[in-house]
Amino acid sequence: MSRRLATHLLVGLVLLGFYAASYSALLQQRATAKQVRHQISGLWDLPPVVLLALAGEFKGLMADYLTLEAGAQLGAEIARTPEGKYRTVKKQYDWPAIHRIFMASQVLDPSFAQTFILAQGWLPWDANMLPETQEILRIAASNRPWDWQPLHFMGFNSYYFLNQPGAAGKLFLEAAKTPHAPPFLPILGARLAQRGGETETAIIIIKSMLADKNPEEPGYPDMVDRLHALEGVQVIEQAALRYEKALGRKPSSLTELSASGLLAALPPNPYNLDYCMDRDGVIYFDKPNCRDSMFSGANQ
Amino acid sequence: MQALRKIWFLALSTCTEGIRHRALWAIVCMAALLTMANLGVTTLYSWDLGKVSVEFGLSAVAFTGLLLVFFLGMKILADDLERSRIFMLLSRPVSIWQYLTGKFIGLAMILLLATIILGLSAALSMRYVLWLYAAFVPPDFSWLTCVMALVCQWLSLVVVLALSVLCFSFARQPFVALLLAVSSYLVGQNMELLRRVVVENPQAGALAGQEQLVVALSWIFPNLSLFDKKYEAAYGMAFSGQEFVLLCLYAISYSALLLYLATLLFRRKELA
Repeated sequence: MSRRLATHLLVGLVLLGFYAASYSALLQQRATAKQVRHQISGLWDLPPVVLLALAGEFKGLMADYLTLEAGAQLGAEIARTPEGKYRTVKKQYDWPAIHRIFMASQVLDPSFAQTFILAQGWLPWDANMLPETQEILRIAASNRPWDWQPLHFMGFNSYYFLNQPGAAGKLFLEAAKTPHAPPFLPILGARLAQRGGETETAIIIIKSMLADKNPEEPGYPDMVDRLHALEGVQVIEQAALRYEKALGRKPSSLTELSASGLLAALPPNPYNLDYCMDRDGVIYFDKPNCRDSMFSGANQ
Repeated sequence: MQALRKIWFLALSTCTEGIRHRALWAIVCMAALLTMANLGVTTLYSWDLGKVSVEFGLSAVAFTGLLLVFFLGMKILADDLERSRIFMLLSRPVSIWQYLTGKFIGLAMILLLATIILGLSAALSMRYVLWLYAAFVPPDFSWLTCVMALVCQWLSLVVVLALSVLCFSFARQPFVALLLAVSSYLVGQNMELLRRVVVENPQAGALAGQEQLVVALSWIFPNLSLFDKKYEAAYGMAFSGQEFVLLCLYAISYSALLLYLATLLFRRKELA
């Protein structure tokens, strides 16, 4: 009996030792591989058609999973120190793979807000992937006609990263057309569009927006004021253009333009400020001292 | 009239048999689990929580329904053969078409019951999430669209059930029937995608230029993706009543055709 027990114990111990050795070797190998491996791969590497076919009727769920995966890839990594404390490790992100996760998620569910907001939060800033982000936002905008945010983000990117106030203004004005868009969007959009030389576009879009709005709505009077200010800017711009055609150079100031007789009188400004022309010939309705300040359109 | 009575009797007995399998109890437990899971899963997201909740709830109904069709449904059909109960039925004045139709309607009733239980459970969890995170309710969210999506889901399950009955009618082994039914379901889910890839894309690889073949296949296999209205329900996109009625008609006509084919094939099946 005791001999039998000893045999069982011996066999049990050998098996246990074998198990412990193989499992610890496996864990060690995985830990080493993890240190070396920075590239991530998964479902998102599949072509879109295959992904759609695999997801079947659970496309939405798979998109939900992929955005969680993207969130997990983007999150901070905590490591344990030898003292038993925790510290945040600077992760090396595999940005092309993370971008592929966003794209895969958007293929499965092009309307999901989590995808484009996460992409906007990371890709243009840390990964320097602005064109890719704009594409994700464009797809989201076309699939979320009720949401002003994708176009708003696109406008922000155009202004902040690309230094294109005109394009940004147009995008803000487009965003302002969506229902429940915040009232600041048309005002901001019109300002940027005008600054980028898109005064006429800004006027047309604001007029079309006013036509669909109830005068009792909050923000309506602000939009009317902005429209009148832009119309004033347009009158001055057209006079400046006539001046340039007639004299072969731009007017150096509004006083010179008025003195030339090509602009009978300065149009009224609803903000009770003087219009101002800066050294580049850009007209402002809200910066009466634009010639004095070191104003730069892209940084204000 | 007599035939209808026999079919109704068979349908009721099949439904009772399904309940005796205690599958519905399992479904109730699963519904409770999924309800709790829905509440937990939704909190993992920061935006579109309403969408995640609705999509998860409806996907849970779809997944459980598929399990019921492929496992409970096929088991009930196979049990009749394996336990030789089918001889008892067919030796009475019950024709094969009445037998198959009765079984099919009984199983469809089980699916309906399960869809109602799961749908109610999903709706409760969805209601709670939408109440808790009111800012994330899609702008045009409608419970009517959700109910229509749920009905479409049930219709899709009914079509898959009809496919399973067809596979069962000619396959020698229940396992082979199950494999064929699952394969047909996968093909049916991707029929629309395949049709779009081949018809709209000039570089469709091996299938390029095979538009007619693909169109023919899309008429043979069920186009199950048409019944998938989770996206519309999740984002509050209304779909027309006309489309809904046409989907109902499509499901009924396709299932009737499959049952008719199943009857023809079942006659040639060696039962002993």
